[in-house]
Amino acid sequence: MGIEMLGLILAGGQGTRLGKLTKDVAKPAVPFGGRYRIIDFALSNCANSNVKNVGVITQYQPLALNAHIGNGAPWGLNGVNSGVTILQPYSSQEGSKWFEGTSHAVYQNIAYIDQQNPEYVLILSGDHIYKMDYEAMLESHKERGASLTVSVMEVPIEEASRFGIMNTDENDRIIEFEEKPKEPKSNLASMGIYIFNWQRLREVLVNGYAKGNPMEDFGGDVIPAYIEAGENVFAYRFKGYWKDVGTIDSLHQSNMEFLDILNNELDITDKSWRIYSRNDISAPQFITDKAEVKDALVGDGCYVNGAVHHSILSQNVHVQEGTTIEDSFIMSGTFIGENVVIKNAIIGENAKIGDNVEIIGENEVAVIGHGEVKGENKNEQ
Amino acid sequence: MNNSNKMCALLSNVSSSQALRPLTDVRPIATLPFDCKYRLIDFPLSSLSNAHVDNVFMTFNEGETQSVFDHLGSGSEWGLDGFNSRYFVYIQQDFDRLKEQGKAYFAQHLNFLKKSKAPYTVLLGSKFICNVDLNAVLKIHKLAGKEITTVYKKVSPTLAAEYDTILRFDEEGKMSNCYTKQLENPQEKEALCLNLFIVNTDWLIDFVQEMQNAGEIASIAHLLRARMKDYDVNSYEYTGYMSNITDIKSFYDANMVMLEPQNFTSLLYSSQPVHTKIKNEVPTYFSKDSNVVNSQLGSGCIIEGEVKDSLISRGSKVLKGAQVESALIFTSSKVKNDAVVKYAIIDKNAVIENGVQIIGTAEKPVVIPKGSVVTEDVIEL
Repeated sequence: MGIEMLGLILAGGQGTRLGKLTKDVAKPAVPFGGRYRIIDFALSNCANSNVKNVGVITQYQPLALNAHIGNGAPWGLNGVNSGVTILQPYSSQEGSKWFEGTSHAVYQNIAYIDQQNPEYVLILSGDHIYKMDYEAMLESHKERGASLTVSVMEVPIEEASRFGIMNTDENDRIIEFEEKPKEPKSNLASMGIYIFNWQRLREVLVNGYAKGNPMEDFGGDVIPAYIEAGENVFAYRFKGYWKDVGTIDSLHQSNMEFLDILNNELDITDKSWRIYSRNDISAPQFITDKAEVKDALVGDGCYVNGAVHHSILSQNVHVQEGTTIEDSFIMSGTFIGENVVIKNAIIGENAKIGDNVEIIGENEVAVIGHGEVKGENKNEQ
Repeated sequence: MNNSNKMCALLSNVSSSQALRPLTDVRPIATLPFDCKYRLIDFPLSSLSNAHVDNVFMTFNEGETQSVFDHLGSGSEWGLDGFNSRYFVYIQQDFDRLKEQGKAYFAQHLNFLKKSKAPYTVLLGSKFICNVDLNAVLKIHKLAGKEITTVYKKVSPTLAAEYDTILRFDEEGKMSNCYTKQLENPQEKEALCLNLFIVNTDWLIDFVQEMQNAGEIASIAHLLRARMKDYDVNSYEYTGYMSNITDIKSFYDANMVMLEPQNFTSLLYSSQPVHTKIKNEVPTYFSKDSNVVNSQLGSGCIIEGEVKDSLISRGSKVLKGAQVESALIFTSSKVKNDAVVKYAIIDKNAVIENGVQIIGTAEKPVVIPKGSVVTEDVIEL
């Protein structure tokens, strides 16, 4: 007897559009919101939705991601009848198992999924910021007798051509799928979240590869194949905050939106749907008598002796006197010297910004990489 | 496994003080909150954890364990949940009753000491806040080759409670001890015993057996302090931060002095990290209109008002127009719109309603008990 639904988080994207920030860190492990990593949202949604068995499919630069996930304890996924498994590509007798696309990554992990023996698989992306009840989506999937349910959200029609668009009938059954259509017929965009009946998906993947009809991507290959084969494919409508943080701009923008915790639709302070993360030990934050902190989120272990406006300081950020930080997202462990100006920027983890340095994003967001050193600091410990 | 440096611990949490009411109406001294996110027991537990002590025998008073179990959970934060590492909780009054019944009241202690297979035992309590490197003490203990090493700090005797122990050394270095109230000719600085000992376990087993045979009181910590002058005792001077929690004023001051960077750094940024219960809180939010200076805050707070010279614990709220000054606000409390809190301790989950004023003095801070909803001014000048 297997489990009801297995969660599979696709965390293998290279995230090249995040530039320096994903040079040594997989995209889902990129820090977010002052104390989270992007994948915390998908993992916490799983934990809160009673999806207690989760496979995380990784590929590029997985070290930080593996260290972060560990045994899954921060999300309560380390108990009896639950678990998180990190799935990495490996070489087998049939050759390399490097993942070619989203559904190929699932195909390569059939042995793991069979071992879990789920009735349904929930496919998730590791780089979205949102809160969603997957259990409700499963209920809808079962009620409608679907073979595949695709989570969709309404997007402004003028932006619809950037998404995979689902055209549905009056019962929300998907009758056509168009990847980035020039002239979209609907504004229902796929969120890259799917529930499949596992045995059927398994057959489609195995038969596809056996017959030289590779099923590399869910969007490009699997969903069209399902629709063509007349499978019951339904759209599940999601309403609420959802953001793909695949670019520097969207990462910066969604952090700035996150900052407004009292008004953001994400409602991060809602204790009935907490977002969990790994906790490091840090002291309380210290705001000195020279500090000026306004419209800001500040994490544990910060020492603030300068001005912080409309910005996020993650854990253990050190800000010295005379420094001004504005419209910026500072990741954890960063040391910022005296009389520094940081504006419209993202500063990577453990970066060191010396005295009198200016980091100002004029037309686009300025980015300092993880551990990058700029200038010199006379007070550095 | 090499056991030659192994230590086990007896952690006694039975001291009580009427002078700490109402804070100790709902908890033992051990779980009094400290500096935005800690409890007093975090300090001895972290010292033990940092020295890899993995077997801890704790005693509490009857009826005082609820907050203890809530805080300790599995003990994982202090590494007490491994295969070979665990903690045991006993009730002091059970031992007292066994003694009354003429039974072997130290049987559990002796059993623990024998089973631990640790050549050394640490005895400590939780009313002195300090961050002692027990491995360093153990080295000195081994070098001295005596059966008992006690740790003290040189302080003004005015900081000691009447039943605290003061150590004195004669010209040959021979130690003697007495209660503070028996102290003759008090000097500017006296050696205050921190109720912290490292002893040879074999010796301790004999000592405990002997005390039980003689029908002495059922408290090893107490007996050791009373009898140590009969033995050749080695001593270790602790030079780091220390506070002695004896009454509301000393408790308030111990917290307030954390706003002085040298104390904060000495206690929380030494090479000995202080561990506490993990909470999944959002970083602390400072609104545009907030004004925070010279304060420390835990995570998960929402600050919309003014905060000056104060310590704000995790998950608290200071709403619009509220003023908090020279105050301690404990976990999840709420200071509502335009309320004023000065020289006060607001215990957990208390609510100060709109416009209400709570004003005490530095000498006698007002204490608002846990969970109170305060609708009328409390001004005690």
